[in-house]
Amino acid sequence: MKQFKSQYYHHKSPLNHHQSPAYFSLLLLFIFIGCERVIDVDLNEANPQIVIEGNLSYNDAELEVKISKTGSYFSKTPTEKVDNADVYLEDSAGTRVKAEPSGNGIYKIENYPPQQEKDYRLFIESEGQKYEAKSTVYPAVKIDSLGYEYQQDMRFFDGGYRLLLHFSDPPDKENYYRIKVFKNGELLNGVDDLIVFDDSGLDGKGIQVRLRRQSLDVGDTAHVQFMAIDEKAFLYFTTFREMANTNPGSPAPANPISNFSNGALGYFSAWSFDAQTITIEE
Amino acid sequence: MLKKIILVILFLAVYAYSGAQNRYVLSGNISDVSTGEDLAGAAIAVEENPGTGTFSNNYGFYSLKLEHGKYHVRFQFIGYETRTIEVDLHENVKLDVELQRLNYEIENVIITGQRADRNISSVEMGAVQLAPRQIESIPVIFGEPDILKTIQLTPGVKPAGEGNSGFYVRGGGIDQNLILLDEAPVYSASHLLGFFSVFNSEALKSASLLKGSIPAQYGGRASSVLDIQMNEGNLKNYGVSGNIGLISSNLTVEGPVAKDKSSFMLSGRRTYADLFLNFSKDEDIKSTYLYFYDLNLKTNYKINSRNRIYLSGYLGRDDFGYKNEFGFDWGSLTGTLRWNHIFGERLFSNTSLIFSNYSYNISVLRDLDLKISSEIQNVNLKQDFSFYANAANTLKFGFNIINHKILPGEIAVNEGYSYVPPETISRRKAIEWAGYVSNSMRAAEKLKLYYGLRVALFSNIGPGEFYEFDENGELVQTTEFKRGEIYKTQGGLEPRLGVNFLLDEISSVKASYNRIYQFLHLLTNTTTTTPTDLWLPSSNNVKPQISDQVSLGYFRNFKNNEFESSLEVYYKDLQNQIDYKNGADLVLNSTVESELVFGRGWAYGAELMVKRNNGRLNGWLSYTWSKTMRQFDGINNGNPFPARHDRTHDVSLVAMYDITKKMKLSATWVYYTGNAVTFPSGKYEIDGKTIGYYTERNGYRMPDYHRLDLGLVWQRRKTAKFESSWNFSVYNAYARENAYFIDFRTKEDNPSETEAVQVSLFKAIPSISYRFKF
Repeated sequence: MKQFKSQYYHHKSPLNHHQSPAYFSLLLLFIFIGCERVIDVDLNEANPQIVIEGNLSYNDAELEVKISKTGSYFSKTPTEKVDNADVYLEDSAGTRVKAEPSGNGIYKIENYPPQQEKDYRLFIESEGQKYEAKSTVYPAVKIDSLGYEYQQDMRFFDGGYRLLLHFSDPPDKENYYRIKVFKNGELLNGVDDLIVFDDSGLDGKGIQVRLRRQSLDVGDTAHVQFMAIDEKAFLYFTTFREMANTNPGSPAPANPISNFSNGALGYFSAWSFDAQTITIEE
Repeated sequence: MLKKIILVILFLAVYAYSGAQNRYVLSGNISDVSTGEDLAGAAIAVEENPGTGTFSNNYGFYSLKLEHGKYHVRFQFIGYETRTIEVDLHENVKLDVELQRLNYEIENVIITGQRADRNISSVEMGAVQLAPRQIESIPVIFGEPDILKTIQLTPGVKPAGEGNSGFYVRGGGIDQNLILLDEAPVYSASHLLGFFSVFNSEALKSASLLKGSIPAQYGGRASSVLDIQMNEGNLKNYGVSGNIGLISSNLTVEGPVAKDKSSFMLSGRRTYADLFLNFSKDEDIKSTYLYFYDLNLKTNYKINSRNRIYLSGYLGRDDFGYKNEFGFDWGSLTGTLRWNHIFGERLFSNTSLIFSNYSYNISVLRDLDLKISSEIQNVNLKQDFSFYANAANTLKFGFNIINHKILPGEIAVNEGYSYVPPETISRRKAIEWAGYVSNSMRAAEKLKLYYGLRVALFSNIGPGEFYEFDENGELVQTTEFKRGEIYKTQGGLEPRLGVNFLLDEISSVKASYNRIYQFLHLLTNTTTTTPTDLWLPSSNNVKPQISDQVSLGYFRNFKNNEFESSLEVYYKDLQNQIDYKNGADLVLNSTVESELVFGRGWAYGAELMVKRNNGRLNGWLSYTWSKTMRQFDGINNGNPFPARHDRTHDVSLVAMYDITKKMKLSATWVYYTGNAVTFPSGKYEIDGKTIGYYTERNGYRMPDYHRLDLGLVWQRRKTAKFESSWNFSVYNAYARENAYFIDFRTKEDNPSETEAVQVSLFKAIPSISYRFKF
């Protein structure tokens, strides 16, 4: 049995499949050989498909649903929002609550504290079509500590401070996590900031997660939300990330795996989080 | 009753004896008079018996059974002077023949085929034979002659893409080609991510690509066989030759160890592209290193006229990385030990012991000391017999046992860091066994038949863990098998059939049918192949791929064999093809089998080839029209979709022109319609990010690809003792930006809008090299 220096294990983040070794080598290739050019591509216009994003937050006691449609790929206008849909949230007892539209395709239910470890179903009816998805609220896992360390300037990573998050994974359960980082009050929301992982191989252990792509400087304040999500949301975001990072080292892109029925794009995710804030000092 | 039996036996004995009494065997070895190299595929014809004849085998051995009498026997081989020898056959005769290489004369270059009309008369179809001399003058990237790039210029063979040595044959996948270097399988045939192949043409004697009728002695890959033989080494004189080029250089040394009895050949090559990177002003480029090297060795020893042994080996490695952050190396090691033995006059035997290893290592973020290693290794015992029964029948039979050991991925971490040691993906062991028997028969004056049967089996053996999954891909059972325990055996019979019907002296019609099983599969989830793609053996969860191919061809020569032409059509059915679930995790996943989906494929097409062999201007034009489709229940809603490598039109034009006696110009033009790709058909917003909406799989096409390469060979000196020449070439002479990849993304300056960006790899790349030979 190997001896480990600290009680915490590094999460196996270097091996995420979307950053497969092939990606590095091909990236290297482009960097010094490839040339790029914007081109015109004739794309078929698919029939608009409904897109639903449902977030049920335990901490904020609120449901927020965004409904829109797909649009033409090269269109310069934002995609169409759907304002006239019927949106209901049903708890495990069967009680339904209607979400009120607040304009711009957004529907909300406020002051709705969901119960942990219970299933919630989201029902959408729009233009004669029905869509349904289910999600479960899991208790948030506490952040044991939040720290940072300096990283040298490297080819693929900028120099700067990287956040280190320590937590203890609940044993004997499949846990799925998402991390949101707010830098100086603003949510970092690029594709590289979509951080999701599970506890496979590390069940029940103390884990250290190093946020490699979020670079901070002295004086920056980072507010970290450490979210517990369910399996379907984890599957959605990992396939989403894979598809959003398409490069020659990727498989053929496909729509992320949605937990909605009837072909709707998007996801419904219930979650809870623990948060901590830290400021980078000299 | 007993009396009757004895009588019958006596009668048969007398009959056989009297028959035997009148027929004798002419056999021997055909070689090059100046180097002693065996000539494989030389044609032996008997003038008095037109239509009777044979070809020398891979070791230069031939055997022909004829009625007693006097004959004029003609020996021919491409690029050599034909010899006709008078033979008085009233007993078995051993006749070794040495042929003289033709001098490089412009006016009368008669590059006769192995036999001038071999394409008409042999039963093989869908076969392309290449001698390195033919390849030398074709310009390829960085001025290096390259067997792999050259076969991609023949019909039915499509290159995998810019800067990629992989290829697709008649709709089959990239892993469906059996690449053999002196009988050892080569798993990754390219250096530098595909810009160079691992085959140093200085070390090679011949190469043949079989894509239509594949004889029974080959198996294991569903679409083609690329059989490459190394030079043995000059048995008579020492020689040094080399090539000094802009990106890489090679040096070959050969000669006799004991004159006429034993020889060796050693050839090495190294690239120094990384030295040029040092001159870059960009810090990042300066800290990048990339190089490859390879080494080919062959030696042989003629024990006596009936026994000969050969030893050949290959070692090659690529190394690629950036400072101490990232490193990636891969390569192969192969070794073949062969023993030829001639029993009597008509039975030729070859026994081979073969070793092949392919491995790669990835070091990621070296300061954390993480290393990923993967390896595939085989040890192979192969026995082949050729029995030259009579002038009308050549029987071949034998067996092949391969022991596979695959390590899909092992992680090693530095002890000093508190790192989780993830599970080592367990080694997979298997044994592949095959036995075959076949006959090439001249059934009638105008009809040749080939029929054979191969039995191919694959057994998974322990030690190892084997998994069972439910319909959702969840692991339900893990079974552990002890060393040597056979877990699962799969496989079957592979009939191989071929017919050649000679319509007249200059044309023929051929047809063939093959079935082939493939037990090792390359999991490549990506649009290009990379050396880190994973080889997966068949198992309880993965069935072997099965390919069934029928092809039909019409072959015709014009103007006394000066022009060759052929039209071949084929249809191929592929079973148990592999693809991946959406979001499949292939990297270091011990239960990767649960991420796979299985389906079928089919491919059909027509290939047209016109070739001019002689004259000042020669070369060929090849055109392929083809379609290759796949269908999987879990993908594209179960609807058939084009395979990624489906390209409708594919044209290659190769022309070589002798400007003067000393200057030869060559040009290659390739054109193909684009691969099938998946592009978005819409877009939408999720979580504040804009992404593409995908509907059908591979529903779009990449833009057409075309490119012209030019080359000039200028011979400076040519004497008996020394030869030298300069080679100038330009890859992509008109600098077309061919699309390597098209990225759909939000605009950098305006994230609310999207654009399509095309990435191309190469514009015009010139190259100079100097070749010398002592």
